Amino acid sequence: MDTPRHLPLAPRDLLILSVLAEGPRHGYGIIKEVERRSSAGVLLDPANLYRVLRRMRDLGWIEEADDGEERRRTHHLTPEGREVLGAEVRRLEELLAQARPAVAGGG
Amino acid sequence: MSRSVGALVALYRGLAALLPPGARGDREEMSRAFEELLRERASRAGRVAVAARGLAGLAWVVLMEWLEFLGAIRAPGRTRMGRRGGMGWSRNLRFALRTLRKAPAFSLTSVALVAVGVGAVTTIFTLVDHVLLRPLPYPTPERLVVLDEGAFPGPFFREIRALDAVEEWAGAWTDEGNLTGSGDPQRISRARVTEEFFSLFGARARRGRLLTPGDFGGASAAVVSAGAWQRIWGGDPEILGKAIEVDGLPYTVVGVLDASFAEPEALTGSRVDVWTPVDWSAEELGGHSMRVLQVAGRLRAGATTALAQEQMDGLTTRLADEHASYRRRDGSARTTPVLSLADQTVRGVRTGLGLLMGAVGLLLLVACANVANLFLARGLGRTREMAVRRAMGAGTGSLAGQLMVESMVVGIAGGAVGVGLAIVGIRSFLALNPTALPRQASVALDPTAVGFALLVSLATSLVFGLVPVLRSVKGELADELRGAGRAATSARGVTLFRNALVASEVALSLILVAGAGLLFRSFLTVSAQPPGFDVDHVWSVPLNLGRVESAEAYLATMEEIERESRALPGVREVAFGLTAPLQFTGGGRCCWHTMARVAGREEDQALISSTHPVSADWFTTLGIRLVAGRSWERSEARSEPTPLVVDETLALELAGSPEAALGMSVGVGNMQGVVVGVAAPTLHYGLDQETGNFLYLPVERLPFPIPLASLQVRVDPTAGEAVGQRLREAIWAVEPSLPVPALGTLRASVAASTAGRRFEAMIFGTFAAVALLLAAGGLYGTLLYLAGQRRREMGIRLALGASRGRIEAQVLRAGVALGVVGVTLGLGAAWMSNRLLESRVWGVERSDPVALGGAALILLATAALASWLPARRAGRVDPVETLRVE
Repeated sequence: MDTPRHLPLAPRDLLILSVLAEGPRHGYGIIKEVERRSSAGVLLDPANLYRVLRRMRDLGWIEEADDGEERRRTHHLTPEGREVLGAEVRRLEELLAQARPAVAGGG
Repeated sequence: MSRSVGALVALYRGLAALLPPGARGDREEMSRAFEELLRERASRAGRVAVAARGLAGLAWVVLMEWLEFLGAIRAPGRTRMGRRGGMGWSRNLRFALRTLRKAPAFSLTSVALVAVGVGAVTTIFTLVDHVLLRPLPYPTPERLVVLDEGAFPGPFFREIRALDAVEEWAGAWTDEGNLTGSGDPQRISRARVTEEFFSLFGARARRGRLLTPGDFGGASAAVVSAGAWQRIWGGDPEILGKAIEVDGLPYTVVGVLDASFAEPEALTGSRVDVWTPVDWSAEELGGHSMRVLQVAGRLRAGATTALAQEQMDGLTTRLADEHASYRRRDGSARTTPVLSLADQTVRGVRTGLGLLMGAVGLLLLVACANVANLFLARGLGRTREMAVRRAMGAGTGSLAGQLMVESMVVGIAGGAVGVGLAIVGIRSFLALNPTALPRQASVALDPTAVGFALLVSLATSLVFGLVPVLRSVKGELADELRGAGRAATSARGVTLFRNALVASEVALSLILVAGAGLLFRSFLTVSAQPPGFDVDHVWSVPLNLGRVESAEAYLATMEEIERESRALPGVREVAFGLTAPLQFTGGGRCCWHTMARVAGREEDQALISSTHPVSADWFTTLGIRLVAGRSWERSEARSEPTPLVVDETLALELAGSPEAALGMSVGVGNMQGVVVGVAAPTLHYGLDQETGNFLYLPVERLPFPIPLASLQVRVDPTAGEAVGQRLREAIWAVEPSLPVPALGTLRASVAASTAGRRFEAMIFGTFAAVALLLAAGGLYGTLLYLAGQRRREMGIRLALGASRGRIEAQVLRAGVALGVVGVTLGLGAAWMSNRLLESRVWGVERSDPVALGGAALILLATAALASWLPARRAGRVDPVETLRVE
């Protein structure tokens, strides 16, 4: 898979992938978790979330499964998705490593 | 709160339904997530934020998915999507606002067009929603049923209590009464209700209490409705325990109904002032032949209307065996239909409102087509701008997105103005509509209607925004940069599309114009019916004498009023009878039907006749022509056999000709009468009602007292309006406690009786006029653009010696051709859709050539006019000028 082609990830995509990295969730759960994590209380709107999920599914990053109860589908990360997430996190860490001294005066 | 959440979720679901096929699978989960997010917010501000973000995000996604679906932009395989979130939104919005501000004429016109469409649709939708769609404001409204076919006898009511499909029945006997003891005497509406009435409809008392079983013995407790408490007693806090008199009988006010209680209109009419317990010992409730109670009930849980009907049929069959009053003339049992209360309440207005909804739908389509046209024209004008921006690196998606944001801004601004128009529209509709709608009191613009308006605006902007977007973003970059000459040819497809839009506008408008024409023709036909009596110079005063002791007392009072009125200056003739012409219209018949029996013929050959007890001068006062014979003299009124006048239709049925009917002896009730005269038929029950078989007899022979009376007064043509006041004083001189309604001549009664038709025609006419204007504007704009686009060509042709007339004729021809196509399509559609109007028109065929042909002519003339102006402009092109541009 041509991982670098997809980088950098949009912040929202990164957040969604990292939430799913912890385990399968359904759409509403993702919204709540993203909201909980972000300090500013970022709110994903359902329509855009599902649009992103559709795209990630097409790209093979996530898969869906029926969780049986409530007729809601859960989404979980595929190995490809995990790889993209890992690549993006590494890229950001390198970027930060390069940027940090310039901003914080060496911290 | 839960209501607004419900409305927002409904709106969200509605919008999500617009998603293209690929994305539809997520619709349900998205909507549920939206609902949960909304419900978990504790504060109003939080909910507003969630709702705004959720709806805006959804609208955006709907748009993007469609563009991808249609191939206008590539589905994003790469993940640079984030930019299009918050950041992209506000930037697009700012940009759109700036662009729209730079083209104020375009922006304002588009917003106005959307506003007109949305305003009209929202107005009618609000009426439809409140009147037809909402459940009735009673407990378990879906289980409420009502007995159709009028009123029922007291013993019948006690019988139906045994039917087990219905757990509770309630009856109401509503009439008018004279309220005294609270200031001036007033006409009030009073309902006598059975024990279960208030609990069946879930009524609550605002003050005091409602009726309890104990009140049904003495029948002297009264409950007043909230409206009457304010109107008659000024909200007097001391009203409980107050003594009032209705028709001379004393009552004590025991409670005031809560203002939220809405009268069950199918039972009691829309306004009841005073509620009293039925007096089961009253004579009217004793026998099987007096039908006074309107009856409703609640089905037992699980029971169906069909089951109730089955049990009712069993009961009516049994009763028909026992009592003649439950049998039809042919001896079969009279059936008693059990209907859902909700259906029965709106039965009379369902088609009317449905038609209006259809009409505004057409209007919205025309407005939409017009805006789409404007956007298309503007999009063409901006191909170079788009090409340049693309060359500078703007992606297809972002160009399309920006165009869509522009159309959404127009849509939402139009929707907002439209909601404002709807507020005015609803108020004017209710104020101008002469025939009250059922449940009209609750009609007001509310969140549901605003949500509906928003949905319509967004859908509209999708429709008119998408087409130009597809156009603008598809073309090849190089093509567009190459220059104007090339752009003109590549726009051929667009021109075709625009022509189709304009032609359909013409067709849609024609449907409305033809419908309005049909309704106007029907109104004029009805109004032109000769009523059979003089309408000018005859004042008509319907009276209600309240409680009348005896037939003699009735006669004494009326004769005294007649004498007083006759003495007034300017008065020529005075007569009185039970009902006034056009007092009961629209199918309602009052009050007395008897069988006219001819001596020596079989009983079953008796003719049912509408019986009118009148005073001797009735015919001369009203100017009713006597075809044969004469009226009776006052001195003959009590002679035997009773002198009768029949109308021409009855005379023909009885004897074959008016002359042959004279001298015929006819039995009426217990009386034996002889026909002394034959009168011309009159349209007593409305200009659009079948008439006939009237039988006039001397009012002196009225066998029972009745509160209903009407005074007819013929005045000098020069008498003027002052007669009204003098008449009122004359009546009060005889009967000081008698309320006298607004007085007018029969001309006013005629106008009032046709006001409903006039209003319907006017509303349709207004919609048609607006649609016509929009279609004309669309045609004008299209041709103007066409002419502008071909300026160069025309300049060259002029330079080469073509005459201006020829150029003008060419443009004119193009416009008229569009008009002809539209009119042809529209005529077919109008002919078909006029079928829906058939039940609303009278005396006019749906294929009425005047309405259809007139509409076609109006549309063609409009098309010609709208084409003529651009044609002249095309002819005035200065060849030198156009060539210099290059």
